[in-house]
Amino acid sequence: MFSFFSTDFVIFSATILAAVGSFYLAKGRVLKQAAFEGVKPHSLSQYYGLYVCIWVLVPAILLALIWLFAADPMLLNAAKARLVAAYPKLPDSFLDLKMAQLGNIAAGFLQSTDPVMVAQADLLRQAQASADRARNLTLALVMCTGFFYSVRRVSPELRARVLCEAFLRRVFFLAAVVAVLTTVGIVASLLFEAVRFFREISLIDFFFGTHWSPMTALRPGDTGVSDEDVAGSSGSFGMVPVMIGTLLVAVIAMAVALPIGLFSAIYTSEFASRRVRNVVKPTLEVLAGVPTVVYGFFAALTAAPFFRDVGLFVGLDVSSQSALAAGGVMGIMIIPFISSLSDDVITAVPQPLRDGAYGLGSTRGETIIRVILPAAFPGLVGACLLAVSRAVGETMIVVMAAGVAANMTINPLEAVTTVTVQIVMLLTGDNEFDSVKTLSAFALGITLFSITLLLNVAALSASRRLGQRYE
Amino acid sequence: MSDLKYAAQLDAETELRFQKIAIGLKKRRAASRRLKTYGVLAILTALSFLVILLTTIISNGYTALQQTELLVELSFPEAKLVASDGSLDLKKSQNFNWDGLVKKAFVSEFKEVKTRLDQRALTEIISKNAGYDLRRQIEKTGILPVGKTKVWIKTSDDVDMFMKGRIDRTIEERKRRLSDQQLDWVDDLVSFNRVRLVFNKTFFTAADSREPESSGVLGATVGSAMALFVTVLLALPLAVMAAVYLEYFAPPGRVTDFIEVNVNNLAAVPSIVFGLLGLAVFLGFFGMPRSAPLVGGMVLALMTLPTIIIATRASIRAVPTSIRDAALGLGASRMQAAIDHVLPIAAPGILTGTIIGIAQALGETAPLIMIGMVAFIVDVPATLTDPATALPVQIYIWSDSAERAFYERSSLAIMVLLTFLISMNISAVLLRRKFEKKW
Amino acid sequence: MTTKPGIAKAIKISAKEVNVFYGEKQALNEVSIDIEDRSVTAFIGPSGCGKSTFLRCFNRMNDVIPSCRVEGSIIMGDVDINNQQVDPVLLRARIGMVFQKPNPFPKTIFENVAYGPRIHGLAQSKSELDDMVEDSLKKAGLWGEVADRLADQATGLSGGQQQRLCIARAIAVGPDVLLMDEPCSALDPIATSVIEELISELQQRFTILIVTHSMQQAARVSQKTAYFHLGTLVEYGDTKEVFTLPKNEQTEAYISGKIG
Repeated sequence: MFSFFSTDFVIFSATILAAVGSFYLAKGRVLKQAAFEGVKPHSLSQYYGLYVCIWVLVPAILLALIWLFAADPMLLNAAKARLVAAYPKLPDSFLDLKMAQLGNIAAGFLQSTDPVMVAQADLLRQAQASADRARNLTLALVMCTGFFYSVRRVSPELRARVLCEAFLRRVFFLAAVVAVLTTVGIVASLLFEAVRFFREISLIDFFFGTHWSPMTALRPGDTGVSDEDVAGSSGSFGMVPVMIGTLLVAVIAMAVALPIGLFSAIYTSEFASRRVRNVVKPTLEVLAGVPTVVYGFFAALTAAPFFRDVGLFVGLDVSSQSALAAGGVMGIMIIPFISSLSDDVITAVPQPLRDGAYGLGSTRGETIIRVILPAAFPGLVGACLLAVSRAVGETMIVVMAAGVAANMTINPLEAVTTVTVQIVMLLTGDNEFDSVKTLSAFALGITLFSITLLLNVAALSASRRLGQRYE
Repeated sequence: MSDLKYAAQLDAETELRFQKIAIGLKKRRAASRRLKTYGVLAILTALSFLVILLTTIISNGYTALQQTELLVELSFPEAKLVASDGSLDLKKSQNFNWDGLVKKAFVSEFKEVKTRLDQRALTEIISKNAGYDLRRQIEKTGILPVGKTKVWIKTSDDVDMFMKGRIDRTIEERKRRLSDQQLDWVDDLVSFNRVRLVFNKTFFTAADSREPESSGVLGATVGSAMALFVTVLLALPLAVMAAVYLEYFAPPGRVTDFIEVNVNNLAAVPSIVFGLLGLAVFLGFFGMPRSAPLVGGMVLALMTLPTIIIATRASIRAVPTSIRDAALGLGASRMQAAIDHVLPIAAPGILTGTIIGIAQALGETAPLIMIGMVAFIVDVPATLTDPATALPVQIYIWSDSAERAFYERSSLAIMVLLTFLISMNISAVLLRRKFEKKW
Repeated sequence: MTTKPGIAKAIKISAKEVNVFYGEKQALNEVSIDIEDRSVTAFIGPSGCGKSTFLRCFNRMNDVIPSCRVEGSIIMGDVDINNQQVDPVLLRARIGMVFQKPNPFPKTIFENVAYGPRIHGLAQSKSELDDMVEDSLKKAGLWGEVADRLADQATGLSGGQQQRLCIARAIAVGPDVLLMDEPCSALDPIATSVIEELISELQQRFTILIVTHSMQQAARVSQKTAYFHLGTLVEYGDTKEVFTLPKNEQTEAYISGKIG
């Protein structure tokens, strides 16, 4: 149970009051001291207030945060231990159920007639109450200590502003580090779960296996299959068909986006007047602003049936979850990635190159195709790589319009599945968190993250080469 | 002037060469024109995609703005509902069979319907929640009407779809959701003016429901609003602090480069990976509640952080250095110059970037699905830790259902979502224009 | 503009009352000048006086700038260059241009020179194209230095070599007039002198118009010099005369360094 926001409003307001109070107290104190000693304080008086305020609040906040994340698990573990003592014969799965029940009883959501459970619930409630009291007391103590420590140091000689600003700088630095922490968090959490997965399924089976069916990891005809057998059944977690599906959809998307995006970019950057360009470019970018769930909706409920009907008319069997529908709509979404980035890249080609080409008697088309596009090529490649990265990482369109069963084919009329679809399917629904199935989602996740990372790095280095050419 | 002579004309060889060039020129010019045409075609194709997308959605969704209701005459049994002082007794009301009251009253109006089978078919015309709706309506006023009262109740979603022209009468009865018999009954009601289409208020005031006619987007919208509130609360201060640090206080070196690389890289990480992070760390490691807007907001904050950092850095850079130099020259510290002088000028740009970031976050679905905001939630969330869903997720959930009525509601929900996004983007652009100063 | 009676060379191009406007601003005012065939004519004057703008009128490069308007006539042979009916592509095949900063295409040396012949369809076969490239590079005085590395990237050449490459590129199309817009301003003195020597050689085959910031350069390479000041042609005549006995006191002031 998470007891954060339901906690006392009183404590919160008391803390605020304490902070404000100590601010004004310290501020007044330094002014009095300065008047007494006949000197000017080093910094403006509010910095002394801020100094004390920081000492009062920050340790308390840190403590509250630690308490927040550490206390509940500790309490629950203790309750669990007591429960095990009370029901020694209880198997593990039932234990979790009992724990959940206990939580609900203690919170008052559930009524129970079992005296043991009621007693345990009472114990838990008491433990929580005393933990809360202990926390409040400790917080008050920490705030007081902080107050007295800092107030004693308040004097006109104290360089309060410098200290406060140093503190702020550190806070700003930590804010910047959050980005790093996020990446670390992503890599660590994905890796952690993926490693647990790879303990059950070998790397070779995963990366090179050609059969993906995690939901039916049991081989038909097996009786008395143990968990190890199931996990070890190679071929159930082979991600090759999933990767092929992902690539098929991405290729179809690029086949739509690349020509449309590139020719649009050529027009807006070389042929269009400034007014036309200022209208067309933002309008195309609207395509990028439409939420992907809307595209998915359109793909599943309009595009896919349309392709299916056309197929019927022509005599082809088009799946109702065809890669064509999903990839095609994804292509529409990616058009602005190609068109905007290409426009920027083409515009960035230096004017002297154009002058040279025109000076030799090139037509506009020749200048664009023979001089400008080759010159812009690294940047264009970068734009394409970024677009592919976006296509590979896209989730909602494929979840709604593509298939769920892995199908190793390059036929766009068939249904395929992608990495992102599998991740969603494996982790939503009623799967235990620890089963091999759900862990495979993390293995897929880290594969996806690595691929998009590589694509992004490649895109960046390709565009860098563009800049180097004109040094 | 007399001894001026104009240069001899070109010699034969050169003349020939220029003729050759002139001939080839036609093709070259045609190729140039073709390229231009391809460009125009490409742009028109892209724009037509946009138009098709919007038209499909609007044409499917606008009908959801209305709900079909029909008129039923009934009388309320006072004894079962009224307290001693004559007002409505809520406890009695809770235990009363409202559903039965409505159904019986409705069936009784069709004298020719006798068999149970037929009666059941008849009651399928009215909404399954009609009784519940009536109860809420009466309870709100607190007074029980006396005698025979006319009430308007919602029809079932199938009838609603029929009235909006979405059920084709001509296809085989087997393949239809409404039998011929049911359609006849509806025709009867229509001919007696007992059916009407009213504004679908429920859509904007209710949360999700099993029955399309009782469902709405309020729950999802509030869930989204709460999550975005958390997102701004977390992402904006962190992003501004990080940007100020990177622009003014970061010492050039490997650590700073590493941070910058991370920020730029995070901006391009697929959104589902953030969902996995939220699942593994926030739900798994920290044990935060599933489906809570608080967790959703935290995940979205991590996603929006790089966007706002980049926008803030651009805004800070756009502030002329003379401002900062002047402040420093007057004795301000670097921190004072940054906070008191540069940030206020950069503020509109920061705000614009934030609005755009929030607009992007509003449309995100995948990470919220991963942290569980994809459940069937019938209550409007009241606190940040109540289970909730978000608007794009609600669209996703509804698009999965078989009922045609949910299809039109999804479309309308998309229109609502797009309206929010358009207004946010327009306000961002207006803000930028209003505060953009040419230095 | 008067010329002493003497060796009367033929007139290659005759500009009459040329006015150029950038939007509302007038950059050139009623400029009329007769350019001699097979000679080097230098345009000199202080910055912003319109000499580059005037130069660009000759091959209609001002068309590339949207806000630019050119009035008047520029007659070569029996054709008015400034007439909108004249196709600029054809014109630029006859009048080549070399720019201030060398602007080779990011292609191989061979491809740079072959560009012109390729787009205009001047070569029937690969060997013919090879010959044209070799010929142009020889005329530009670059063949000896690059003959064995034609497949190298042009951007790897030194500044002076790049500029000579641009000259070769322009020559390969087979023009009879060459426009040079301060071709040596980005080059070191040695490269500059190489190019100036080249210009003297080229002058036997081509009519050359050169814009230059350096009076010394004009004195070294040109036979005729035109002095421009704030968009007006102030004085035009034999180079020797303009520099030793200028007729106009503005010219005199510029030459003696009083203005500039």
